[in-house]
Amino acid sequence: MTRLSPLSLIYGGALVGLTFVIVSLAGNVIGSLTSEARFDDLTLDAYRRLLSDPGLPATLMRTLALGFGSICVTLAFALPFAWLLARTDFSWKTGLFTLLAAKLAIPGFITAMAYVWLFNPSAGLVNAVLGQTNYTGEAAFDVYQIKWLCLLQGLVLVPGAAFMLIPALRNLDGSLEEAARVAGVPGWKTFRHIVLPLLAPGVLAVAVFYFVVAVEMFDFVAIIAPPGDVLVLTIYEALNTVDGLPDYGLAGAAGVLLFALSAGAILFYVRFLRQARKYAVLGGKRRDPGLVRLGKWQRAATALVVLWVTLSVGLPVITLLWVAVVPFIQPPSLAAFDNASLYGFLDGFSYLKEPLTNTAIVMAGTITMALTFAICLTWVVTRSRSTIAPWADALVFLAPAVPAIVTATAFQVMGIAVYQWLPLYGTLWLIMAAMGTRMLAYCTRTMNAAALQIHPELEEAAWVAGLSRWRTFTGVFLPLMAPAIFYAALMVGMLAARDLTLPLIMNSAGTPLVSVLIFDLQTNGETASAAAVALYMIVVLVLLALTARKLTGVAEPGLEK
Amino acid sequence: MKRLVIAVAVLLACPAWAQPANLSDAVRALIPLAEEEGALHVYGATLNPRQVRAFADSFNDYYGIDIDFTMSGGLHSAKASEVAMAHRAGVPTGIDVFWTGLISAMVETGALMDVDWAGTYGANESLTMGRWGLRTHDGHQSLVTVNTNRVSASDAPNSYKDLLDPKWRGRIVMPRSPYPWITMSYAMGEEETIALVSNLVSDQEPKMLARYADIRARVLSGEFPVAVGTDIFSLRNRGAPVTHPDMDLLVLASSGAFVLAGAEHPAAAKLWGLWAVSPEGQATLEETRSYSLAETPDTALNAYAAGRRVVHVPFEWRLQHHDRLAKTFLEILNRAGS
Repeated sequence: MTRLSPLSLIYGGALVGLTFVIVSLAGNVIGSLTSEARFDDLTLDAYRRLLSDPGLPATLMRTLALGFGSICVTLAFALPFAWLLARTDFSWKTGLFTLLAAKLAIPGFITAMAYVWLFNPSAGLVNAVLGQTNYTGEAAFDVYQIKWLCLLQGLVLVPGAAFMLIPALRNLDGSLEEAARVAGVPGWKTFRHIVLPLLAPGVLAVAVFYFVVAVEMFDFVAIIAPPGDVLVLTIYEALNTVDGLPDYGLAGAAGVLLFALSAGAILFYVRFLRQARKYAVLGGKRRDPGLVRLGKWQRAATALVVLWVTLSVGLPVITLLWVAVVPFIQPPSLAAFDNASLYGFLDGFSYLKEPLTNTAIVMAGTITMALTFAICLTWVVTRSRSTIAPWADALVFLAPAVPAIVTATAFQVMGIAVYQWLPLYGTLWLIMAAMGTRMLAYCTRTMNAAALQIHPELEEAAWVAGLSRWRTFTGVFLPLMAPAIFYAALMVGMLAARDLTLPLIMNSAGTPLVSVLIFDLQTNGETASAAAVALYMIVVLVLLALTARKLTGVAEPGLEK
Repeated sequence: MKRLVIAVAVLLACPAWAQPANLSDAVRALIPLAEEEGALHVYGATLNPRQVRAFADSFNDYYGIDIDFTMSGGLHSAKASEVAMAHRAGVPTGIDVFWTGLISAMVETGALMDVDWAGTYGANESLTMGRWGLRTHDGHQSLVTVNTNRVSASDAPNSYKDLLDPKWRGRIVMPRSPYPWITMSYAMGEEETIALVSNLVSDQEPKMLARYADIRARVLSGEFPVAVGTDIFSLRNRGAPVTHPDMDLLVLASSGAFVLAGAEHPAAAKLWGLWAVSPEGQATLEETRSYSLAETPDTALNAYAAGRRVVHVPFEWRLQHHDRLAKTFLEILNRAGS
């Protein structure tokens, strides 16, 4: 029997991960060619219907505006936050890390709901206090605008983007900045001319990745519902048909259009990767970058953090607390306080045991799958020198552009097709595989950026010293990638715990998860219990994140001691 | 002595002797089969664990059995499509009963089991849905809701045409879905409904939302004084400031229990359908979700329907006209904001 070389395990892992991505992408493309959900009769009818829609150009423009607007807001916060955590002596690092993790656990619809209550033009609290609603004339604020949608989506994407950037910032070679300092270059110029260019692959990856995510997000679009369509609404309507079969054709065609919108940016990124060695700064003679002393800028940094926390965590958590103590959703008022009680917390707690256990299993399984495939893919993409590697990476990059509901359907179809040989259909395993695939792009973006900064000379030195390629992989590559792996795992775990669409579509066995429990309670009008469960979930996830950081020892510089 | 007391207590508490006396022989014959099957999974409504337990207890008590009962819910059209695919491939779905009003995807692939609910099991003929389903409750997708803090009883709309009053401009929240209007077409006539929806969209600037739970939240909070397409029976019981105004028309489209052709627990599935239409089942549906048949006495829907023009949209009519009307109304709804 031929013994597999350890290296072939890495290629095998990458291949399995890539296969899952292809299942998701092919599901979208094949779906776009179907009519009446018949997979044996392919047609371009859906494209004809989509492209002949007179409203399509406006829909595309709004979708592009949503993507770019959200990214601008995200980067405006995420870049400074990542820098504060990774490279400075900022005083509130643990607090910032905790709040970023907490934000990941807050359901998107709660954030949107909080803003609707505050800034809706008819009865928003802020408008009411100002006496300017559209009952009295012109409202002072109108949350139902695309610019508000960009702001809210942008704020929500900050933690993921920051966690993606931290590993890249931590791997910077400090000698470059030190040389600039010795040469008398001011700090901000060093940041602009040295740090930012070296971070370019990481920042570009974040921007492209979150552009794709922002145009596919549904929670905020559903609740804010600004005038006019965006592509994700077209997809939702096509799949949420009144009766009969979902219109996979139209949803798939709209999904392919999302690919097209993302493709330009991704192609640019692939070209960037070809010059990867230019950005490799973590070599054998690397100097620890050390911490930048913020001095008088400590206050400005704190103000920026407070601004984001208020907008992004404070308002939604206060909203959740309020919703959890009142019997039905209502704006805060003195009269409403009379009916406040802790019933929601008691009721929510009584449901938690089984869903929490199942959610923990799904989190663990998804993290394991996503990280295994992502580590293998990252190694292949950044180390194998194969000409097809960048294109494989681009394929992975496209995966988040596939609407979650389409990914779910594609995996269900795959589960049904291979059931005879591999009975995964209807199990949590298939849900984990689908979740892992959707999160693969996040993991590879985070890890690629870090891997590109690790100069191959380190691994070459190990081979010269007689280490096998496998030992080099496990003994050199993986330890250097530890921060990136940690933050990828953190993000995957949080998103897996919160994800609703995949479990809702794929879970036929009735295995309850916390996200589905929240959805069920909310749909039933039991908003107090739903909010209480969401708060429990936030507490559990934040504790998990803090524990994981402590146990793994992957703290930000300046905190290890 | 202690053992005797416990035995008597168990016998008294044991529901096996509490079976209703009026069960037909055919139904009684299903009971041991269902016990042997031992489990049942119903896909349909989104219920919380306490409500699922209430369903399980009432169902098991009714027949004096102890079956492992589970439920799940979600997007019905996507799940129906998946069930159809799985059935075609001969793959078990884990679902025994599809509890829904939307079945055409499964009809086309033969994924539903033919069940002679009336002939074999003695169910009321008026409750059958085609040759597959048993009508368990009446849906009311076009109900109008008002926030009582914002709208007085005298100001509230009394007909769908009242929604076109300029005073409601920018004050109505409704679903982006064509569903409410499809069933309205049967009751009001196609042309009249198309005119109504077109005028609503063009003149009244309604806020259109993708999810029903969001519509309910907006009318509850008072942001929008009027909502179309959602019911608030259970919220009103909790003191929420919302009500269904005194409209001249109530349009009902039924949902039912459909046993899947590949059900692993077919006997339990049939028993579940029959339980759901029994007085005990109806009481449980009403208590947990305010679901009921309009004709079931002492339910919120029954009370609202009293003295009102009630139109039941026939199941066959829905199967025949849904797709066409869905396209028509989606086109109209999509004009908003474009």
